[in-house]
Amino acid sequence: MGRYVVRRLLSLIPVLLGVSLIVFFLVRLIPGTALEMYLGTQVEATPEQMEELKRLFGEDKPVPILYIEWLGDILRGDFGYSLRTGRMVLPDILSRLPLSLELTLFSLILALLIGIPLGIASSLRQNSFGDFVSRIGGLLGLSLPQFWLAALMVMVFSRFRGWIPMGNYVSFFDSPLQNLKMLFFPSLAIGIGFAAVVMRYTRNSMLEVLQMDYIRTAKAKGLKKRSVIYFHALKNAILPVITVTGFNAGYLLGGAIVIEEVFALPGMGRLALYAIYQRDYPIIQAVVMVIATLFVVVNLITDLVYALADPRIRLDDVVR
Amino acid sequence: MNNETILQVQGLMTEFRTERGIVNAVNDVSFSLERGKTLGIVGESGSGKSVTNLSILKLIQYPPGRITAGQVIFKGENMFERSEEEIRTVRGKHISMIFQDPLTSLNPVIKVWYQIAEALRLHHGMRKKEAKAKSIDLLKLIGIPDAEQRADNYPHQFSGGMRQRVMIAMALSCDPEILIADEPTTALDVTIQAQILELIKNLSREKSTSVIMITHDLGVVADMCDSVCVMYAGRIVERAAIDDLFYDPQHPYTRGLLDSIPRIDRAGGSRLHTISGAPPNLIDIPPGCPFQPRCEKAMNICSKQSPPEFIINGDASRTAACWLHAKEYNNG
Repeated sequence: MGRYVVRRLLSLIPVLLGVSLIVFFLVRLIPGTALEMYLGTQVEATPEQMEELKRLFGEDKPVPILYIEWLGDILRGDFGYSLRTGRMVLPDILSRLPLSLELTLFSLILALLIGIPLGIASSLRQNSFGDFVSRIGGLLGLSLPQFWLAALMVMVFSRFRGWIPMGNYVSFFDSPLQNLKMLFFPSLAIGIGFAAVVMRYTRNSMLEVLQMDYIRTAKAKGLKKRSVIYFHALKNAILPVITVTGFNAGYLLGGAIVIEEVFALPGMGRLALYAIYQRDYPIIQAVVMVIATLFVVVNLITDLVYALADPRIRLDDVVR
Repeated sequence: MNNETILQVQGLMTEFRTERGIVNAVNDVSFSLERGKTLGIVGESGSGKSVTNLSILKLIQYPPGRITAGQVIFKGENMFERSEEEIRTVRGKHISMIFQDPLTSLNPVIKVWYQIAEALRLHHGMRKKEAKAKSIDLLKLIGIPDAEQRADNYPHQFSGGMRQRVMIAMALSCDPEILIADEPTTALDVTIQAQILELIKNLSREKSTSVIMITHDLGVVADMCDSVCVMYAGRIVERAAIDDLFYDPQHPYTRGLLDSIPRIDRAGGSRLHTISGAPPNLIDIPPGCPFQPRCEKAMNICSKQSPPEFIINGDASRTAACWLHAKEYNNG
């Protein structure tokens, strides 16, 4: 398994190379350069001043050259400086990363806590009223845009009820309760759609597994219904849910970026969003690189968890 | 003690509700099983032999399956009058089952010893450690080499024959009084088949376990059984002691089955007999004998009225559901 992990981590190299290439050129395709955004439309500058500004903003060389220079820098661990604040990019991102990760993790846990029990209950009462309600609810949860849900939550729970503590963000390590209180509704907004996905996967997978011969064997052994369902069936039915959770963890992180803005949470997503508004290329690039790395790592973790859950999978044999 | 009836099935009817209509999978089936004896239930696919036996333990999934009539009397008590909870304590402890395909019948993500130990822990209240030791003993008993190491393996790490041995260990773990073996060798290689049958035979003799052997293979029946029920279209068409069935079959269907076995003592060159046609659609069984459309000896009455089980030679355990025997029946 160690060899497998190393091999998968090595696959990060081509992935990150590809991502760096795409993001570097893509951000420069957005109309308006960093300098133009900085200057706005009203500023008059002499040609000499413009030359100097262009040099400062790194717009004095052709893009491919800039790319190679940037690549060389990040290989040395230097992600450069923000074009706006002039601060180093990496510390800024790393200080905001924990909030985004916590939000993602929290929404993931919420989604699983909602989705799995609902899915099981639904499968056991297939085609009943309850099953129908939870399937419709699932479809609804899937269709509602996160940002709309988030905005609604802010309106209802924050303005009218005061349930969401607004104002300065408190880290989990300073005040866990206050922190969870702040993050509960944002996480719910991010996770509800995924909870619907988990629900549907769990339900379908359970329905399939409950038809299997080994469930009949378990019943023929005289096992209690509880252990047939929660042990024999669930242990098998959970496998596709693990896979889909791995796929979606990345998207939840993407969701966090939008939701942070709605709830005014100082996470990495918000940093990225403002960086995009201002064409702060170094920050955008670095954020994307960080997310891509996380994506690969999360997928690796998923595969490891899957291998733990399904003894038929032997990672060292898998050719990738 | 010799002829003690341990299980009696009476007038069992099981149906399945499908989109195209109600399938009468088991239609008024009765038989009894004696302690320490082996009863064969023979029939082609879809004749209702598996459903009959799943019905005994109420393992028919509802919906679509449903037991509509009949009783199963196990040691003097009607199982169908017991609660689900009471039947559950019979399953695996007093009556256990072996299924056809050992790969799909074992849980792929649970260690083998644990699957064997479950019944022991449940029915005999064993602790985990104790149950594991007993499971390993069972694995040794059924002939798994390196049982200590193999116990921690998963089903996919075993060969087909070994998996079926594990199933047998599982089924026999609590020393049941009845073992229902549902085509235990169908999914296995021919060489392995004989070993598995031998294993079932020896273990059941040792503990004087009664066995219901469900199969479509008359060779298995000849090898294993004391008596036989032949099923066709959800009904028992002939029942007999083993020798009577092979030497003196009474129902045209049984005769057809026996004639379709290649025999080494017959002159070569002759074509093997086949029963023409296919079993009837169980959704709407036509009136009359279900075998009548394929029967070489069909008479007028056969298409009008379904034959009851006629007793042959005054022996209640020797019957044939065929109008050919109506005369004997009327006479005696």
